[in-house]
Amino acid sequence: MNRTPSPRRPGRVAAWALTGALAASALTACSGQTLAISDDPSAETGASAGQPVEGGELVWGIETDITTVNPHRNGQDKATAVLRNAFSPLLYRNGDGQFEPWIAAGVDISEDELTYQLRLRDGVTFSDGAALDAAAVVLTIDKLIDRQAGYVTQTPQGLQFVDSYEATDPKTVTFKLSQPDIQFLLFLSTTQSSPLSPAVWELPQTTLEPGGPQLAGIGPFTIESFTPSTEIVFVKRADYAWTPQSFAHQDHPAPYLDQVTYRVLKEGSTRTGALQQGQIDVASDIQPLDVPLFRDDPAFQYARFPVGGTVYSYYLNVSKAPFDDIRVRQAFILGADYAAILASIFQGTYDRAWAPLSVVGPFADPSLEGWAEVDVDKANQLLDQAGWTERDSDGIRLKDGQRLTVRCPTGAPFVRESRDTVAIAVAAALKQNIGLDFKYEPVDLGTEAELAAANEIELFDNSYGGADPVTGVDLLYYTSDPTRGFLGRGHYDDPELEAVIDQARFTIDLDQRKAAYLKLQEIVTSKFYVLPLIQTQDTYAAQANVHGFEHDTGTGQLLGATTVWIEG
Amino acid sequence: MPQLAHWSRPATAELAGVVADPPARHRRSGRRLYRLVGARLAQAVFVLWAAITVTFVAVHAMPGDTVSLLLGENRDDPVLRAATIARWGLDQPAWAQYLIYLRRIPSGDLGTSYSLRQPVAELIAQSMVPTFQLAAAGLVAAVVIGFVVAYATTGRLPLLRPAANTLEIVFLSAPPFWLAIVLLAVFSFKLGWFSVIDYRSAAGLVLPAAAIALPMGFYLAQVLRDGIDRALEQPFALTARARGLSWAGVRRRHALRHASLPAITLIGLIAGGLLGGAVICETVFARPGLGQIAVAAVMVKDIPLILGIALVSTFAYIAASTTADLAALILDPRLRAGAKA
Amino acid sequence: MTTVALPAAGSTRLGRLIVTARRFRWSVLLAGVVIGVALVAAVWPGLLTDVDPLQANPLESNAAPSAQHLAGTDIQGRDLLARIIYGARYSLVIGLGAVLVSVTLGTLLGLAAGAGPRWLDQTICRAIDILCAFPGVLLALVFIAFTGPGAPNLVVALGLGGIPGFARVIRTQALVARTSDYVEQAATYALPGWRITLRHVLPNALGPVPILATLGLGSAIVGSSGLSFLGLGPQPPTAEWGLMLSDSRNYLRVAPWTGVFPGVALTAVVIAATVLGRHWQRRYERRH
Repeated sequence: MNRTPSPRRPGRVAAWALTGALAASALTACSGQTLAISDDPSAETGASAGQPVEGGELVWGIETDITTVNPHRNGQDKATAVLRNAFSPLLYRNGDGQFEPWIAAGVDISEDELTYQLRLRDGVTFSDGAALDAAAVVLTIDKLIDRQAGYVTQTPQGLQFVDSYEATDPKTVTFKLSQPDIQFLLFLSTTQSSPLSPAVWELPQTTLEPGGPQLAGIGPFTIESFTPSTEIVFVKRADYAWTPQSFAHQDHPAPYLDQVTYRVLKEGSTRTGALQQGQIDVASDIQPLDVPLFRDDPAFQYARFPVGGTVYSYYLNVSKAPFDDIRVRQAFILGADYAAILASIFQGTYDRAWAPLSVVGPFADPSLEGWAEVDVDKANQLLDQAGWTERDSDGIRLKDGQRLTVRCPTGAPFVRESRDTVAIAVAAALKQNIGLDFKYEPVDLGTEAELAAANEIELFDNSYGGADPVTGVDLLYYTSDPTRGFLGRGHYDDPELEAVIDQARFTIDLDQRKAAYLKLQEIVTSKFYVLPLIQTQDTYAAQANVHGFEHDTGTGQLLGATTVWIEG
Repeated sequence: MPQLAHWSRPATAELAGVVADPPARHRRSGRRLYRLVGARLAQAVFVLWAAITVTFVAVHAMPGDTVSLLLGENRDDPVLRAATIARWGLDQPAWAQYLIYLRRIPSGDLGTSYSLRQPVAELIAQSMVPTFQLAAAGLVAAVVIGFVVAYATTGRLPLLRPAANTLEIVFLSAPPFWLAIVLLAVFSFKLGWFSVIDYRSAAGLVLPAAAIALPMGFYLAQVLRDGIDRALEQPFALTARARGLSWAGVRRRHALRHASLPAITLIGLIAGGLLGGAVICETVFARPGLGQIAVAAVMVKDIPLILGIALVSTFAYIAASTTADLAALILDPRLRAGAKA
Repeated sequence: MTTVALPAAGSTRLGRLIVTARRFRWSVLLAGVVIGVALVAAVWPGLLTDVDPLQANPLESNAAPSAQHLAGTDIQGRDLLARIIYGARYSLVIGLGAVLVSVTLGTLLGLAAGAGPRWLDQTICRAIDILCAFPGVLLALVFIAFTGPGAPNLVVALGLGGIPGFARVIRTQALVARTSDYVEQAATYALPGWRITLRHVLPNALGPVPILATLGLGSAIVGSSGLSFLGLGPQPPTAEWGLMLSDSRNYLRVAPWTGVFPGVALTAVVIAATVLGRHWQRRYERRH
């Protein structure tokens, strides 16, 4: 079943043995640092700050509200980045789209891409001492795939096409799929599939589901205490010895810090104030107006970096007026100087996105740069051609008595990072330039769901994270199948688009996927289905004496506290 | 009743039946203390039972599907639906459901929060501790502020009184969350005296407790001050002065004790308002506790959780006000004669 | 309250003027003016400003107070003064609405309890005790959990908590009025009970209501702004004072006016309502 990569058929990579991973790691060896777009010229890299110091305690202020530490139940991007401190995944998906071993030793894939043999490493133990073997992995998968047990509310997407799985020997689990599915490998590289110790399954449901110190997994830290929506305290697990090949800290897989406390502080000003006063050592999610405080002060450091998935975009609903007419869609996209709006609001702390897929990873189409430059005259022409020739007293265009109105109700809890400010500026520009009434309305989640179900929205705004765009793309564009296109408020129902989405998902051949995603981006931009706006990013600021921040090249996010150390 | 009593001066508070009762329909003289106490306790139990019943009616009288209401966002989950129907007995007639409910609540089974995936009773038990600490600290601080300000502003120092009046009106009128934000911004982030991270230690309690205690303390001070003034006008004060006691001594030994009586009842009411203060302070100061959970529960319409919190708070409030009333009954013989229990 | 005895105080015109001026409670006048302005702002905001409170201009985000924007602008570049003026509407309407709910239902219950038969009195008293048992904020939270956020729901949520206070007062007054002479006289004319209640008991029972309503208004406004602050009231981008204070939290360091001005407006209106209420209360007590 094992084949080494053949130069004649570059797409047919069937072996993921350690050698393959080493080759990949050679390509990505330094990528742990290159992705950090730092506005602070003195931002530390792991090697240049001096010798790492063992020990110490760190307090990290985060914005995300963490209500459960169970890795199988908490799928929020920013939360999984925190939970990975205690629950390492089986594989690591790097920035080139390749999968490297992490807790597992590797995956052998058959020619037909239907049989996957997950091989485990020797000597890996859970934090409670139990050994990691095939039986433990099978037990975990049992729990995840069993809807009736009620442990998870939905079977994970990655297990959707798994026909059967079994422990074929103490260190191997063999999965048989009904069709090739990259989501399956992706699933194995997230905390969603992190194995838990067999003893954990004996815990009562009410302890298991919210999670806590009893949740024994495999990670550089263990959870010492968890207060929901308030803090998580991690303590070092000294015998942790397993990292992917492309991580820079191969010689020191265990953490330096003795203890890390993640403290939930939902207000940006609270995190900023606490960091300034030295009450916390690191603060995530720094708002733009606080950036100069940390960037320009040598006592602090600041960094911002893009993260993966689909970027923050406006998705146009093509199933009804006015966006059923491609000319109106194009007019909307050309009708305002989005780049200028973003520049004035964010003052250079966020980047414009041109491609619908994130620059993190191998799939973004760099040729899309500048594809939607503002052209107000052309936009007005298009609208005239489309029949929107009359105007009402406010200057909004009319056609057959109907106003040119675009409604975008959005869930109020999800409004963050000045998205409402952007929308307001966009609305003002569109009204003035082309006479279009853009209504961006934060509403409560119940109302938003109702309006979406009734197809009462013309535009939907969204950003979806993750290492691989496959999940987001399915959710946002595969609208003919409601079980896949759950967020498909654009109602595209486009067979050409969906064919390409399937091509990108139901194969593990990287080149094939790249080609498919290039085609996808071409389709959605040429048909003006989507307007990509802001490259999603994470930011953090820290005291100057904190070093060792490393990135997951796949998701772009920080790797957590494993490599972090405090000077002196 | 906190909202109204909060604003009225004691004379009107009396009118509102907070302290003394209106003319009784018929008088019975010479009741014995224990009968009054027993009656008050019985009333407390009745109110508690009624509160439980009201929440039951609220859940079942809402339009739409009760199971969906209880499950909130998880309403489409068939496993949870089956479990909930079994747990609450929703497939049985209404009176049977009520009996099931009535049996479950006192035994500590307050349902399950489906947004947090834990039993409501457990969640409340965990979060009660920090909230209780905050409430207790706030109450103590309010009482201290009240007594100190009242004592300092009675009697022969007329200059302090307008200052205290102004401060009191300002603290009562300023929105409590504004006060909390200002305290946080000035004392934690500007001056750096208190850490916002630290919610377990006593130092971490200072700012949130101050945010709660300042409005209530000044209100309490006003009640006490009026009480002291009225007590000082009583004949016994003149007698004490005639016997050589100084004004300070009269205030201390007699007036303050007389004034404390309406204040004790008010403390019972204030305890009820502490939850409101806790809700605001826990949000502003990023503290864990019942208030924070309650707000989150309302946001996601987690009905079992919010009802559980309502019942527990109601129980605590009834306990506090009953204790205060009983204390007043025991301390003041006047309340025993001719008053309705 | 004059404390100084002017020589021949009433003998000259100037002297009389000075006496009146010293007697006059300036604080009450000021309170009246504040409430008046707030009411005008609530009913006809266009009279006070012609700027659109929802008109956003991100280029002028967080601008300091200037000739163009007297109170500065908020994070979206909206004129803060216009938002404060339009915000008066929500605070006052929700406050007044809540008080109206409390007064109406409280009066009905109190009147029925005080003027009706004994069994009704007992029942209503117990019902009031039960309503009293739910702490005010919690009652509002539970109600909003069932009905969702928004202004009308806030009105009812806050109004419910105020019912016991009014009910008790009206009940007391009704009980007192029952035993008064004129009611006894009316009874000798063999008028039906409900007519006696409506024509004689009710008008006399309502005496303290306006005072309590004014005092309760301050409390209701604070309560409604608190709930809006938590996100349970009108949703953004509505100009509501509590919401504005909540939004301003993150920007206080660079734009303190976004928090100071709405807070001052809120506090001023509440203080004014309280001062007026207490002033009437003193006059009422002196008369009775």
